[in-house]
Amino acid sequence: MKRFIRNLLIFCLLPLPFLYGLQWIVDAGLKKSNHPLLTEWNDIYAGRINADLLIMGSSRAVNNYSTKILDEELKVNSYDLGMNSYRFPMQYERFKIYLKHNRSPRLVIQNLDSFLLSSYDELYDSGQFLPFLDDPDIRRATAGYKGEFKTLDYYFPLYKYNFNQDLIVTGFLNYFNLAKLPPQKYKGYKAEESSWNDSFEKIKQWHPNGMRYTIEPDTESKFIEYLQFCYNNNIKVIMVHSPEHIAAQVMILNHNEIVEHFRQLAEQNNAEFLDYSKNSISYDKQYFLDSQHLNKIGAEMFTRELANEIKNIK
Amino acid sequence: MLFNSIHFVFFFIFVTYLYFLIPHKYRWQLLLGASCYFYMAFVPIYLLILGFTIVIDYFAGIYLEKTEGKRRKWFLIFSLIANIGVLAVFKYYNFLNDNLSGILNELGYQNYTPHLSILLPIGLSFHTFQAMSYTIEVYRGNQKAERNFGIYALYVMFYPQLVAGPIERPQNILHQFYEKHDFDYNRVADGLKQMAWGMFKKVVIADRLAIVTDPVFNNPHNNSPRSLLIATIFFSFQIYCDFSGYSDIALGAARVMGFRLMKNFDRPYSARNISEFWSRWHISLSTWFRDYLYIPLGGNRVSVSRWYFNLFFVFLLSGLWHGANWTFIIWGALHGFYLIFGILTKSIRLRLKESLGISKIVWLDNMIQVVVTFGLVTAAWVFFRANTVADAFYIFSQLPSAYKQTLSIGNRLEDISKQLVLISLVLIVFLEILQYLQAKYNLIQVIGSLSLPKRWAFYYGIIFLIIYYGVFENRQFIYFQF
Repeated sequence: MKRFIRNLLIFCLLPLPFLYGLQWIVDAGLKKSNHPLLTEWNDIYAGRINADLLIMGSSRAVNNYSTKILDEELKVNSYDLGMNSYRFPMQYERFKIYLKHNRSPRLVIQNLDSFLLSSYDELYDSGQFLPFLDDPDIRRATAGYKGEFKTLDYYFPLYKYNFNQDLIVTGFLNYFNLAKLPPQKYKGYKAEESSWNDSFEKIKQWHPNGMRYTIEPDTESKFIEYLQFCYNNNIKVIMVHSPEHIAAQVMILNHNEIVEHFRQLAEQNNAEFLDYSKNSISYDKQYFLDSQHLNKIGAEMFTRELANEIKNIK
Repeated sequence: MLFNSIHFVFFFIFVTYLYFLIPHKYRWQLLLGASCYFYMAFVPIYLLILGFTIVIDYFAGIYLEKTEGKRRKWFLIFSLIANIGVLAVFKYYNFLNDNLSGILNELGYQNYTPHLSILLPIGLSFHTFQAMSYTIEVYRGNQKAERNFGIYALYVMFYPQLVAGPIERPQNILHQFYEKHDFDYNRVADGLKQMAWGMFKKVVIADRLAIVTDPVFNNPHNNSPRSLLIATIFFSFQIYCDFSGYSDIALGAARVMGFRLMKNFDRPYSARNISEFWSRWHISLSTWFRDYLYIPLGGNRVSVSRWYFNLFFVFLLSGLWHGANWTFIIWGALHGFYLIFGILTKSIRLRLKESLGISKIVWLDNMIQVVVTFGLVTAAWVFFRANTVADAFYIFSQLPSAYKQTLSIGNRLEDISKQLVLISLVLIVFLEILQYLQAKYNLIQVIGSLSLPKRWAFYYGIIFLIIYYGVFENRQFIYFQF
């Protein structure tokens, strides 16, 4: 039995140094890659953003605000920290991590959605967090979500890449500079060249009677805390409801109430409020990729209008 | 406690280590305590139900052996009623009650018997049948009554096979609890390899296929005919890998400690007819029904019409054993029908094969038989898996349209990702290749004869696939619900 236990221990322990080494290589490779899931996190942790102007929000922030135009028009260094699918809690966590590694911005544009302060419990695109799982901030940010990381993810080498094996390959190749992905975003902004798709038709079928979003009290408290933090640290916040196609606005039955609620929050917490939901862009499909996201033409048009408005605020 | 959990890993290591450390005379007590702990990890209070039937059957066995004449039969009947009664209350009461309500409502009456909110004790059907097998064998004189209450309790509760079989016979296992099992390097290694293989089938193949099949079967109306067809075929492999994976883990765990449990699966999808399928699928259950129901009913040594009745009745009950739902009953009935139809059409099929020249081409003949058998079994699985009879019939109604769709994503709201389908197909092919190699060349022995680095490389490969491609969402084994 002793011989068996000895051999079993050797069998179990032998690959561990190799696996830990491989994980280190993969993590390091991903941290210097242009993988679309990781670019913003890599820039945050490397401390190379130090933006004057930050854009915060969901995927609507990612697609709707051209950082190139903001840089040109406002003569600033802007950066888009929009996150696909996530509501305010995760956006706020990302903002806090940003501040730990980068200089505070002077201005924050907080994109508003009807669902910004609603609950969302899925750990979407979990691959974006994997190279940073040893950071307690990331562990805290991802805790409580469906599909949250478990003990094995944190401590067993490469286990966290279980459902993202492509990241292992990307990380490995990037570490040895064997492959380089072309950048897909410009400082967090993703320009969508495509025109209107049929995804809204599917959404209408799923919700034939429309839908409502509920503002979660805990999330709202965090939002107010965030606004007050910015105010106390001389960070100007402009809450912007970027264009959203009018058909989607009609389908969200309490859309106008939510927008009004945001306006009141801005007023109560020393933030600016700009509402482009009824802007002419919102009525024209040619500016949209789908009901929520502007395409390149729409984003550039909107961003120019916004930049002009911001000049007046400044 | 699921086999595919960290909790079980630690439990197994601890119990096995202690097993070989302590003197032989205390080992059955360790295993009994461990088995109680294992069972209580599910719903602790249900240990009392198990205890109740163990006490009944223990004394029934002793009195059966001591008693002469007609009174012996009453002890057997009492034991069987106690076991079947527990099964009836926990598993079938609500089903029967709901159906009675339906009938009474149709007739304009009301059913006043209450609906019970009770959870089915895990593995109830399995250990009930194992217990019944004991008293029947004692009654028949094939097994001496066990005088040691603890050993008898361990026979029913032995943790590797407690919740999902194999359903053991007392002649096979009871004496093993008295045998001294020394630590044997090769045997322990073989047991662990079998457990790893079972785990691979469960978490890498079965649970990954479930990602495809579960959403489809749970919502068939929102899936395209192509998705329904893919999910139907995948479910055949899912249930095989799930159940045979469990059996391999059970057999492997027992083997590590020196116990030999009966083989429960033998490449069932290689069967060339339904009869052969049932000699390869869930062998412990099919032989149980053969020995304790089919043969006592007369088997095939009766009139033709009675033979057909025996076959149909046994499979109907087999369906009912699997679950208190009309879907399982129809599944069982389908298999009974397949067998009878197979018997009735045997000569016609033989003549057809001869006229087409197929019978002269052995490989073609075998392949056709295997494919047809797989098709029939897969069709029956639709009823087994569907949530309702209506869902099953809906799925069948859509399957013929599946071939009309292109290979692009379907036109329904939800569909299966192509990547998932491809990965699942690769896994199924990999499984079939390994099983073929094992049957033809005894792959395990071939690997065992390789040099250490090559052997370990293969083992690392399997473990790598389990850890990095396994789905660890603590999905229960399908047969746990029975």
